[in-house]
Amino acid sequence: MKPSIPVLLVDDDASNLLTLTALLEEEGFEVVAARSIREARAVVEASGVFSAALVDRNLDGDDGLALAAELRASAASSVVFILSGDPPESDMPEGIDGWLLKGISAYELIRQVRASLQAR
Amino acid sequence: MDRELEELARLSLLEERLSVLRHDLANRLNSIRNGAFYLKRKSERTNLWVEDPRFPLFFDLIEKEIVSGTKLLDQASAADLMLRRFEPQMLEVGVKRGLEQVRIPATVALETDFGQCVPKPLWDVEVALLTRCLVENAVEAVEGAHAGRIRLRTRSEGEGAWLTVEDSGPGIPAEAMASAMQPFRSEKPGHRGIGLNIARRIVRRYEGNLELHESEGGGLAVEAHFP
Repeated sequence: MKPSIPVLLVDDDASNLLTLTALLEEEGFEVVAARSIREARAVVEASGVFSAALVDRNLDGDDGLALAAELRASAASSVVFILSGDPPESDMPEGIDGWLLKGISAYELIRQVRASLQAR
Repeated sequence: MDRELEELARLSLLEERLSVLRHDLANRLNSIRNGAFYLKRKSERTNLWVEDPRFPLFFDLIEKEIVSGTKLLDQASAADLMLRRFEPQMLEVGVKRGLEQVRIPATVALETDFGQCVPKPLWDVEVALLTRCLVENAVEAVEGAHAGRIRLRTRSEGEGAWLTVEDSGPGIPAEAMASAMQPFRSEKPGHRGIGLNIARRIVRRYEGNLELHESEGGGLAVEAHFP
């Protein structure tokens, strides 16, 4: 049995969180979910380091990009993705490994996360 | 009253509301899609998948309908109700039209600097609304201060033209800059939040961009670039 890969998933939308957690767990990831920046910080403090973090761009008015940069800077996650309904405004922000559009298929989402982890 | 400008302001507000609706519905559809994908993966390994041909058929149907619904959402826009009329003109034509519609309080000093700008194909009503949004946003930032200052300038460099509006207000913390344009933080058109959203959408129609910086005095500087 392959060891599970710890992933931090941050999204303020309960349905997105539930379904994405199920999909990622089905693919062998060990998911810790958070619904806000505050919850994410608490989870990082309690659980330590994650192989990957998937962070919603808009966390109920808070900026997911700021959290993503924080996770990267503190090495709490080696790979950081932004989840968003819209493409990045200009270039890919520094420290972000990928921009996952919410409309992409689950196959594609998981493929991109795996590819990024393998490239590390 | 500038009726054309008011009409465009109403349509722009509608466009922002549609944009929020599109975003929220896309999120809902995406959850359904992800949930269906999970159920499909699970049921593929059961006898139901083999015994009932409607299982694979219906999962394919859900996927196709969601993709099709998402495309329909992307097409829902109020922008095509705007009959845009372009004429080669300097940026200041629309800027001055917009300034006429903004009430500047007596405690606020507005300084304008219309530098030489290359004529560009612009719709002056759109530039006027952009100006109104940016200046009303700046007024809101400095209103209540003993002596607020707003500086508006236009300039050109090569083919590009810029409109910059700076205020002497408290500014926006660096970490909040990226989310300052989240729609409907304020419901009032032209105020911080929706006004900056409308402004950004206008500039993007010209393939330009709207950038927020800290102004020299620590307030907010908003720069609209028309490439």
